[in-house]
Amino acid sequence: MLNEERIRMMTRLARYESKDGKQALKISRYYRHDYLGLALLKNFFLVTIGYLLVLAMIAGYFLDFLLDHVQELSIGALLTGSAAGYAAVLVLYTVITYVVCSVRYARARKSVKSYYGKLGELSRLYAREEKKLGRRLGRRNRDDSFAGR
Amino acid sequence: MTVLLEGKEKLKILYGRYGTYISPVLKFLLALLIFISINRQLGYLAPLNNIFVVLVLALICSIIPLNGIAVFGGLLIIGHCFGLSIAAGVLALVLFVIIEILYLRFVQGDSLALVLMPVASSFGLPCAVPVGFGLMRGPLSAISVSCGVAVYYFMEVVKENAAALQSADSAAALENLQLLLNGFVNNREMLMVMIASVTVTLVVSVVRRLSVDYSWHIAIVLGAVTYVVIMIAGGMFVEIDSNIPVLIVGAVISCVISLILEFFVYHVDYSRTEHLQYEDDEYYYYVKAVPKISITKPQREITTIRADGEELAEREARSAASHAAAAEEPDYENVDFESKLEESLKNLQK
Repeated sequence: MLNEERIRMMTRLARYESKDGKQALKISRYYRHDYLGLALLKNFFLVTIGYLLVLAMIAGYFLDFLLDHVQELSIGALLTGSAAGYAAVLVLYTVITYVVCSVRYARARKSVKSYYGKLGELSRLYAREEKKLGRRLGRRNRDDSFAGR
Repeated sequence: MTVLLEGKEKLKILYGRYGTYISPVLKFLLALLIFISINRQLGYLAPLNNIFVVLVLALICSIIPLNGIAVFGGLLIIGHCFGLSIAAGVLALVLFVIIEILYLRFVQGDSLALVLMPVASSFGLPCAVPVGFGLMRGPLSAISVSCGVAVYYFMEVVKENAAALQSADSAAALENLQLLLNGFVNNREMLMVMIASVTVTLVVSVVRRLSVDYSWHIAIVLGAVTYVVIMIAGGMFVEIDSNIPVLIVGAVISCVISLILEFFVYHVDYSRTEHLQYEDDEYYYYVKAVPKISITKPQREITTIRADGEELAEREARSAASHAAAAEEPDYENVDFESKLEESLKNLQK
């Protein structure tokens, strides 16, 4: 027989799995330090690409000036400045990524915890139902054997 | 007002029943509007500037998440820029990659601002987007909105220099790049609109959270006024050609759009506000409860009203029928049960 409460709970869980929980379930597969490490590694490569692109745009904007004063410019100073800028941007983005990913991980764990709680509740509902069904079947078998069927 | 509320409830019920179909249709229409607007502004790549291509793209966007519209919109802009010149295409690509890498990857939900801002600006309603994002999202959306402003003004720069970019040969790519970069970076109007948009988003998102009555209305009006004031003041100090009547009309229309948004998202009845005070072991609570305005669907009851004569005749007919039924019932009092029982026992013995 259909159990309305169980169906409602299953619908809610399926909805969570396909919508809000999709990302959370993916995140919660990792340990915290693995997740953060991976995010920081990804951040390193992305920031490097982003910084190089910004640098290229700045160089493009000042191209005339750079070409005119190429002899007077100190390449060492330029490289040092660029490296310092890169280090500053990288540190800033590392901090941002760490904070954002920590918050994301904590939220994901919390929501997945409640999801697992509901799964446990569902399994208990199943167990209760099976027990009830088993008791009913047992009684019927007992009656049948008594009647000699 | 009641009519509007009833309409809102009907729409809610309709959405609840056919949400599976309505949501893709709305996404399709939004994508179509954005893509047509981009094609109207740029439209340099002939294969992309085709209504069938736009329809197919919008159709794809209707079944994927909302961020897909921003992705396809961005690709459309990049495609058109490549159609004009390699320099413009490369610059567009770099601009979108930088925005994605350095900002949007942290706030995925805001990516729509990148394509909504150019569309709203092309319709003369640039104020609608910061006000809308201030209402619906948080203060961080100010950065997304300013990225949208950058995309719009990049498109404007490309459009302004289209003739020069088209006529130049491919060897002059570097010069084209510089031309575009100069036009983009030294754009004072863009900086002014960015400042105005950021301020408006912050003002709206802060004011709408205040615990004052009509905070959303105040936020909308204040946002629009702030935008107009900053743009007029900017026009005076930074020497930008700002058409004041157009600016004001645009701000008013943006207000109306935002009020429609507010009607659907946050509609409360301040006249029934309740102030509660209570305490527990650790805190005193001062609670302000503002009820949402909702209207229940009127239940229709059908009552049949007949003329008196007819009703009387019906009642008489009903009583006559009951009398007849009573007459047909056997008279149990005069039955001799004992003899009947004996008879039936004899029959059984036989």
